[in-house]
Amino acid sequence: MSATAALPHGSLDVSSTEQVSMLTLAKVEVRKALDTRAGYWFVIAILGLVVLAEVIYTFAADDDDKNFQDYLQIPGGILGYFLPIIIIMLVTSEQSQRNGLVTFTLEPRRPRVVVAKLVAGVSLAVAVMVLASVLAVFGTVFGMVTGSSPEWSVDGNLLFNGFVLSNLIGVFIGFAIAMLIMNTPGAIVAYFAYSLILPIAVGILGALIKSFEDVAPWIEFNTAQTPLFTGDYIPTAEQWAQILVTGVIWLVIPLCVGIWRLLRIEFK
Amino acid sequence: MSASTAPAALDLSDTAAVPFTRLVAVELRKSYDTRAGFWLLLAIGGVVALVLGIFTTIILVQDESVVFGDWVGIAAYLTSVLLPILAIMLVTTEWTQRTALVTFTLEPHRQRVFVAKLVVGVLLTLLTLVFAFALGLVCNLLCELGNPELTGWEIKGTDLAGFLVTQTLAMMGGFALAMLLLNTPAAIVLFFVYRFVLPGIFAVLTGLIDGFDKVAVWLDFQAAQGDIYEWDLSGGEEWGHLLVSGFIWLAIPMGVGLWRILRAEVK
Repeated sequence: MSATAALPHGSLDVSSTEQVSMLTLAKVEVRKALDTRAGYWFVIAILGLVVLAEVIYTFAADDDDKNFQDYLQIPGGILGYFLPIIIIMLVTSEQSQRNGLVTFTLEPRRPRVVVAKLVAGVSLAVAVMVLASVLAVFGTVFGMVTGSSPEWSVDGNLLFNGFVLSNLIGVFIGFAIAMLIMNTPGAIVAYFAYSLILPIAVGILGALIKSFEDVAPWIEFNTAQTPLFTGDYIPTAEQWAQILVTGVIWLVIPLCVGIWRLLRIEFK
Repeated sequence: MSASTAPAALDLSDTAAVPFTRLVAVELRKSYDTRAGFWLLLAIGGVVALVLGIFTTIILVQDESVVFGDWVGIAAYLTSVLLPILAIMLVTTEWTQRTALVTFTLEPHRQRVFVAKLVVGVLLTLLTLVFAFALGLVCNLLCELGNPELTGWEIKGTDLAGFLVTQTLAMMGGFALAMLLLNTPAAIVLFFVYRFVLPGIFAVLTGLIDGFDKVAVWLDFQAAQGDIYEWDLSGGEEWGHLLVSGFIWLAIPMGVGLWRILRAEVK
């Protein structure tokens, strides 16, 4: 103990201890998402659902509608509903499964954990998207085997706007809602209320109040995002502005309030 | 320790079984005297009040006509989503909050606990109906004051009966999925898929496959309930649709779930 002899009694020399690297933090978060019972089964369930939908589609659709692009839109829709749940569970389990105590003891600088969770969530989302695209390739081949002659070309705007961008927005929304509510069932219900019930409510209001239809794309994020995955997949300048405005309301503000909350919440 | 009793024997022959009413009372208390349950019930009331308030404002501002029965219809749509979540939490929290250890130690006849939970679900559904009715009364009164000639007080007894039956079925749908999965997030996700995504899938498949609509009516429990809400369920075939689809979505998950619950290791 010669090296530490100079230190005053009762103190611990951590000056040469390296800080936890961001890579380690992100890896830990990915592992939390995949190497727990709930996360593991959830990812398998999503991919299983994609396979099931592709098979049903192959048997149900006309041979003319079995292009690669059609098969790609199936996982696009499914992932839109379920990818955000992964990141919701990743964030809220810190509170509901009480691992927040350990997480924030090992890395007390909470902003780094927030970043790590975001990195992990986005990487997982991208990985699931890639896997889903591979499944779409298999689906198209399966369609070929059963007698269709598919086209393999994909509209780049569909791929980026309708598949990647809209799903990433969903993941960020899930992240924001999870930090705001910090409770697994609550956050899942809130997310589905936002993605499934809110558009219906907007539709009803639009039918009741004529002028509301013009206002809706400026205040409701789902409505504003519709041009991303319909029509020619290219929003006009006005539609981009609507996405931006609603994005601030539904994504940026909840994200900021959520991060503020996660940084201050008492874990117990 | 008197010498008359054998040292290792416990005489339970005079101990009365836990009465069913007490089980129901305990389950009812679990539903509102926990943090999650309390906030969920408050949220259900709050959401219904908020939406009815918005509708009242719109109807008054836009000079729309309204009858008393409409309020029950709006409330029914909302509670058909919220009540199943309540039912799910009634069942799954035993597992996720580990109260099952205590529950099944105090009442080892596990099926009695679940019958008690189902009774609580029905009681809360009734309470919701009363709440929606009272709130609809207030909203209609406001419309009456603001716009007397456009406001009506007609309500059919069948509206209320339809509300009660469809809401009870909706609640039981959530209850069945919860018994099957015994996990809160999974059951909630599956419920939302069943409630919102499945009708879309049925519509797509009907468009893609000729003759699927003939099959779908036997599978789609929610569509089969539509006639109950209108209270004109008539004819053997409609009843057949309801019974077959109800068997698929209620009886099978509940049966498999009960089998699982009776055998599951509680830990």
